[in-house]
Amino acid sequence: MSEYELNLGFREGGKPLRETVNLSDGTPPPWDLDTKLAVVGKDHPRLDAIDKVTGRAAYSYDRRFPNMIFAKMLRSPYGHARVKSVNLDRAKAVPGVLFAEAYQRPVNYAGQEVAGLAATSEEVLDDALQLIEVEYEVLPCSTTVDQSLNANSPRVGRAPSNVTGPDRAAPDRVARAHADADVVIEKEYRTQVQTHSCLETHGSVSVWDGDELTVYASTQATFAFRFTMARSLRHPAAKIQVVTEHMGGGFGSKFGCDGWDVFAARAARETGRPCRYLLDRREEHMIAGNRPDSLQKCKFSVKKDGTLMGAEVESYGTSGTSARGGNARNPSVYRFRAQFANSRTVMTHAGRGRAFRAPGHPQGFFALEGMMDELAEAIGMDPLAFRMKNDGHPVRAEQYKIGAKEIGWNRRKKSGSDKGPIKRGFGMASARWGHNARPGSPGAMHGAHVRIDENGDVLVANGCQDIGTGTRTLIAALAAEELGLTPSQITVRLGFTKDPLGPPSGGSQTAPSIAPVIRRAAYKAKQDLLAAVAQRTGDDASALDLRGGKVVGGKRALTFADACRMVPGGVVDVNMSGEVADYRLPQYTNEVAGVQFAEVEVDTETGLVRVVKVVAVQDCGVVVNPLLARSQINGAVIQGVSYALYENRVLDRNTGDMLNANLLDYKIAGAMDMPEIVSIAHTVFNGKTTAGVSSLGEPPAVATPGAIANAVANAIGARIRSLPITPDKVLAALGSL
Amino acid sequence: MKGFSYYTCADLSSATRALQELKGAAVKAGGTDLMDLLKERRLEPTDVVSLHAVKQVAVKGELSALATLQDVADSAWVKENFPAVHTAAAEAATPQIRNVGTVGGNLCQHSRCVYFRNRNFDCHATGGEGCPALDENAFHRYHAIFRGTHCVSAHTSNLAPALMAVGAQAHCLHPDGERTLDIGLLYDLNPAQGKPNHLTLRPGELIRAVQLKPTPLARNSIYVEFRERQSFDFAVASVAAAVHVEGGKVRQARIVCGAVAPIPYRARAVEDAMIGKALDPAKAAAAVVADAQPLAGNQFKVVILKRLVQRALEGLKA
Repeated sequence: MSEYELNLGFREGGKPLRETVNLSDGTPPPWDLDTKLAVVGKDHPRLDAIDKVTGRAAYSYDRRFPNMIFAKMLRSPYGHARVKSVNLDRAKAVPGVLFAEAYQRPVNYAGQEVAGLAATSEEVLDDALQLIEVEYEVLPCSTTVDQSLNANSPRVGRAPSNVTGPDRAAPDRVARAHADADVVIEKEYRTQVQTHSCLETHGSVSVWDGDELTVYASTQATFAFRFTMARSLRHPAAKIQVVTEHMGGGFGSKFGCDGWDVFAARAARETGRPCRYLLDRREEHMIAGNRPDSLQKCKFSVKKDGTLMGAEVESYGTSGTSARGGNARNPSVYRFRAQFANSRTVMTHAGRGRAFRAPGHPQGFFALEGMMDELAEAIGMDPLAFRMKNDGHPVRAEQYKIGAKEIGWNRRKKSGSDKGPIKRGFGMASARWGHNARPGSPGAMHGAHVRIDENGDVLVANGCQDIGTGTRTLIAALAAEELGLTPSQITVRLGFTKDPLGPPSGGSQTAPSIAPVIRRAAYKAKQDLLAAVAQRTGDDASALDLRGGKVVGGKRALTFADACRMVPGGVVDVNMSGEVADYRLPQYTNEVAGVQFAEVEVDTETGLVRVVKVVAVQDCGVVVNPLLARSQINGAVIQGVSYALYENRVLDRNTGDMLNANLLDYKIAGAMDMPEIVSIAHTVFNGKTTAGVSSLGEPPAVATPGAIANAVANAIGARIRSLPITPDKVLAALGSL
Repeated sequence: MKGFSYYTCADLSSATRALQELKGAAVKAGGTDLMDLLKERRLEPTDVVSLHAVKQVAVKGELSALATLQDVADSAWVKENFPAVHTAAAEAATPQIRNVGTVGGNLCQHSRCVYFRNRNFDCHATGGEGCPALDENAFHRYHAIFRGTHCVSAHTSNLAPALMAVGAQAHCLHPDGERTLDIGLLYDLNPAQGKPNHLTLRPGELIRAVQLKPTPLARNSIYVEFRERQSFDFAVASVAAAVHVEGGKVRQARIVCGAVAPIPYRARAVEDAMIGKALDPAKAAAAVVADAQPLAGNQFKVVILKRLVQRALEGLKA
């Protein structure tokens, strides 16, 4: 055991957390405010950047194999129907069609599969799909939250009601808080359905070799994918390998293997040929997940001096045919005397919702932060001062100051102060997320393989995937820190499930979970290497260390390569797997904090909103690679601008079919729509694990829509409580329609 | 995509003969519109006639139909004499599309109506009955506010309103010979059932070139459009306007609106009423939208169109 004095917190201020911890042998010294780090905390370009921009990186979408066949499903154009018959005869007769199946099940969303085919080319497949004869009995469908809340609406599936989840009334203490308040405001907020729109669509290529299956999948959870595939095929997981070397976006929608993956694997097994099924863009929009919409009825109250009193939210969200997961989440970051939220999922005849970058949060915070501004306005208080008064989080307290300075909050004026039709506005919003470091559960600890060759080559391998955040480069930086090298000297192998267990990329847990594991394995490799050196040089191994490509603390001047040649057998091989290790540490806070500010311009004659600037201050624990951290924050802000102003899934209310299932009519913000983005990766030595790395993928996606909506309200003096904020809504709010 | 026979023609007259022989063939120039329609199986032609091998012939005063939108945007002559045409080309779509999309293709593009583009729906244009966009529950946010008989789609060509505003004409080639008509006469508000576009071109007829004449009216022209997204979006509404003002009085005026009717919408009565008076943008703008008949979901287009007309006229020399 070794004892460490921990000093956790952040450099700009706040009260540090000082504690003594004892960690078992083999655990690397924990990082805190006093640690001097050589590699971590510095900008390192993505190791696979060149591969990605030159097309060399092998995405699952790109995989081609000799003799490969193609799979696709025929999908219902109706949201609600009975399938009376499916006739495959003409399709099967097409030369090149090798595998065909019909699914005569009740249809509950447009896009639901009715038949599946596999054929020798995409052209044959497409022609054969047209020849499948389906007889539908079309039934009335319910496609919106308002329709499905009506007890007389058509039922989705066999559930007794389209509305599920708890139906609780607010406790008395909330009513008492309202009663003691000076101002009570009740408003309704709404958000739309957003599709993930992954650039690389969902799907996989299955290749059998005897009874060994390799699936090249676009997934954000290689091990979960393998598990689901094994269960679906009733095939041993040990005989399935999932490969995801690179992937083009998941955002929560690619957590496991889907029906189309299993179909392709079965078609491959039946035909003895590799089989590919990557969804087309229309399928990607309709059946591969979405962010549920929301209807949030809010009742908030405040005292004239700015003291928050009651907060009460009754919310509904549609998750398509799924009875769960549609709810907005309203975990207030502010200190109300009493608060209560009841969230329910509402089923519609539509593709299922899936986890989407901070599930429930952008919706919830859009309403919460809108209500906060409405309260501040009602009592005549500055929105920033109002939040600072009511927010007890030590990190956000600092972030409010950083962000306000960066955006120039003092430029914020009363609504409509600008002359001319273009009005400028400023708004802000807060965010929270969990500090989700999970280095595995006791039964399934994450592992790592570190191998150092006699010529000094270092390989670090883990079976998890890089969802696009730069996990490969992060792992290289962590190993380089331990081994006294630079990230480009480390080869990282990711995305092969034959390698040690790694985390799924969900809940923003990949980096925080894998970081202490990589540290531990690399630390062990270093100790093994230095022990071998000490044996040859006669040094005391505990006095030696690796820094700047050299062995330091010894009698002789040795480079890293010199040291590697001294290893008996020539190889240091640390294969850390299934080891229940000592990762737990006290934590500075149990959540990550964020604050965003937005500046907008609104053309009050046409209703056009332009976001001019967004400042995002985001706590991301120990920042391993600020360059990639800022890139993630930029990405979240971009997606947030897009969600706030443009994106909206449109279903035909008569048939349930999606009307904008492409990337032209489904509007995603492009380069010309982008504001100046100032992303500040705020380092907080957060503890919890020996690395102190925290969650980053999701938290910066939480605040953007609320900040933009608040800025629009400041600009035009009227509040739009519905996303996306489109020109027609602005004109309506201004009374111009 | 359904399989088809593909013909490459070396010159336009052989292309017109091929089109006359191959009934129902599709024409491919840049292909930016056609390829989507083929891939989505909205159009399933047996034959496609490609113009990619046809050499452009430079004729003074003409824009070749095969000139790309970028060629038009880059022309100093167009910019100086027909500013509306320059802006319409320069702001269209994306740089990638401007580099392959052609003048002829832009004028002949199909409707962006989401129901027309989705083969799960049928309407008058696809040989069916009625119009799904007219339903009160329909998604018709981007549809017409000035209506035809069977169709409420919105014509989204950038170039058509601009070319009409500057008085351009189209030279149309047919195996029987060439005819020249005003750009506005290329369009038919009420095409026959089953005709997927609103063009008056006959089978076998192609636009060869657009004739442009520099005039005081054309030189004082402007194109403005409003789109929700600045990167790659079709206009919610657009306006091309031109006026020739002498001694403080309007002698000639053109106001042509895009994306508000199934074909480019020329406000002739408003133009006529402006003659002989001082330019009054607000009054003209109000008059243009006085006849609008918006659908339940697109009233905002009326407000935006009115504002665009006013801004366009305010941007002209009075």
